[in-house]
Amino acid sequence: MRLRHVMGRAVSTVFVVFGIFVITFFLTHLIPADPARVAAGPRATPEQVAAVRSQLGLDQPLLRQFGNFVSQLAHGNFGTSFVTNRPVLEDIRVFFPATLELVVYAVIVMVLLGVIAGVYLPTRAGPVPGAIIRGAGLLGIGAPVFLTALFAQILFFGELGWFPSGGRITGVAPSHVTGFYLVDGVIAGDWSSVRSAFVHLVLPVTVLAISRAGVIMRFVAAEMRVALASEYIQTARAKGAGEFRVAMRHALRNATGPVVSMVGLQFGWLLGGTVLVESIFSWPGLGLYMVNSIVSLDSAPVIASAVFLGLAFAIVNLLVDIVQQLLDPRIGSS
Amino acid sequence: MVRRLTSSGEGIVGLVICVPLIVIAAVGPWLAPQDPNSVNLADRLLPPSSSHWFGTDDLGRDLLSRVLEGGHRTVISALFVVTVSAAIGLVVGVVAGFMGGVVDQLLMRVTDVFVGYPALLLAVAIAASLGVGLIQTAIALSVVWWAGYARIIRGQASAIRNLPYVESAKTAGASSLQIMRRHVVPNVSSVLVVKFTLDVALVVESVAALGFIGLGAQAPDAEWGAMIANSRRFAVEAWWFPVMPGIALLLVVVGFNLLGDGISHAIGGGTTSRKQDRRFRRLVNTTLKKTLEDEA
Repeated sequence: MRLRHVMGRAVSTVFVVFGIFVITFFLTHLIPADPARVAAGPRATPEQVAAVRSQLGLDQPLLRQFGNFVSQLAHGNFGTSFVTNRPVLEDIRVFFPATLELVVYAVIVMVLLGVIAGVYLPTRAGPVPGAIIRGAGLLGIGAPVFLTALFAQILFFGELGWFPSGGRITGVAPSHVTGFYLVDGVIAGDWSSVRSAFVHLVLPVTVLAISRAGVIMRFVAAEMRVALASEYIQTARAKGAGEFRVAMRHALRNATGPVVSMVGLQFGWLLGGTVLVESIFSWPGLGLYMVNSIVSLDSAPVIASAVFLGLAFAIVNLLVDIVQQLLDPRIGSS
Repeated sequence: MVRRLTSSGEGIVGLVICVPLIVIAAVGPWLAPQDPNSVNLADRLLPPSSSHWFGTDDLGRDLLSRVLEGGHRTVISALFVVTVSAAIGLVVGVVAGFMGGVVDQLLMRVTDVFVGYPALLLAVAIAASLGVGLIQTAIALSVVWWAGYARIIRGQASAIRNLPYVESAKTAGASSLQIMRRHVVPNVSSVLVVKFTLDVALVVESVAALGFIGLGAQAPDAEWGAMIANSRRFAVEAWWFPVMPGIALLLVVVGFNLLGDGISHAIGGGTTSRKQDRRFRRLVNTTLKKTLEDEA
């Protein structure tokens, strides 16, 4: 039964991926009035345009074009970037680890903040601290992330000078193992680069994390309230368990499942938000790459990067589903 | 409706913020004290003063005038996006929910693709292939945004489908089109209104975000996102340059969020006498809550 549920999710993920391909095909082949004209450049002669058309297979039936397009993508051919003069896939391989590092740490900080505040609110918080925490969470969700990022940069770099204005590291990057500078630095035992990578991470990670921590907080608090009101909590209390043990061991544990799926959904939001945050903190990831390509009017890398991040999101959500199954055997068994 | 709206704190604050903002956004360009595009390098990066209330930017342009002009652009295009999305989503959702079966399956699978994709990324991809410009950005956002409406309205429509009065309308010989128009559409309208208001905040933010990364309005046109992007290089020496359009953006986003919450309370909560009314509201609330959670 559980296997069947996971299979169902996998099939719908494949469907979403296929849908992404269809949309992308539509964007690149049907929206420009004449894609061959665009690809050949503004000064091409009609003969050159015709040559490009047959070279790109644009003179073939639409369905065959779509087949070619999918097989190109499947072979990892996303086109070439005018900005870096490299195949887009190679660029993605270079820039994606930076984005992943940022987003993974942001997810960790977001979950920590959200869960701590979410457990604290219904169990310990008085009315005034409670209102402050709730308000801060709401402000974090409501404020546009590029605005928070910019103001954080003005304050903590411009005014206080506590953190660097942007970039990933000062000096040489530690030798590549995982692509995460912090982890690579620890592996290499290079503590000065660990330190440098860390101070560069603080602002972008915090900004991304607080933009969504409020969602997790509200969700955890709601789940905790439901759990704390149920009978097994009464039983645990009656058996003499302390409030801390009741909250952590019993209530929070039952709230875990829904929270995990919520975190998976936030991942998609963070992948979008990181484009803006990277651009402000000059973080050399896929987001900055996309923005630089937009400025140079080079659309292929932008579309490819967006598709790539969308795929990453689909895969993460599939994984989240599987993890949730392992945590809560009731799902999918009915 | 208005009385119920003003009975909640969020509703009042939301109204107090939003009504003046909408008026200002509508007539902003005509309120501007100076030409928002007139360059005057002698007045470069002046702090706020009596002659320039919001200060000036790197080209000596009056920031108050540019914030007004930009707000007009940002808010109007956001309203366009939400209206178009709601209209498409209404048609798709009502048809899918009311017809059910294969039509429903097909439409919802298509909707899933759009809902299942990070909205901002999809909008960036579409806008990038349409080319830069505010209109292209608005179209791109509409293409992304309708799916959320389709899904939420479909849930409502399919719940209404089996209610007795729809059955009796069918028995009385009303055509599907008639039933959809007369019975289904009015019953999904409250959900539509709540989502519409909450979405204005999100779409204003998205328009500004796309403008910020260079996809939206192009220089010299004023638009909040683009203005904030331009201000980055001068942010440390001239704090007012990013802060003025930033605060304006923040006000709109927070205002519409509060208004949306207020309307949602007004429609969902409140005291009602009729049992059926209450049951319907509960239905509205649970569907809405679920969908909003899905999307969050």
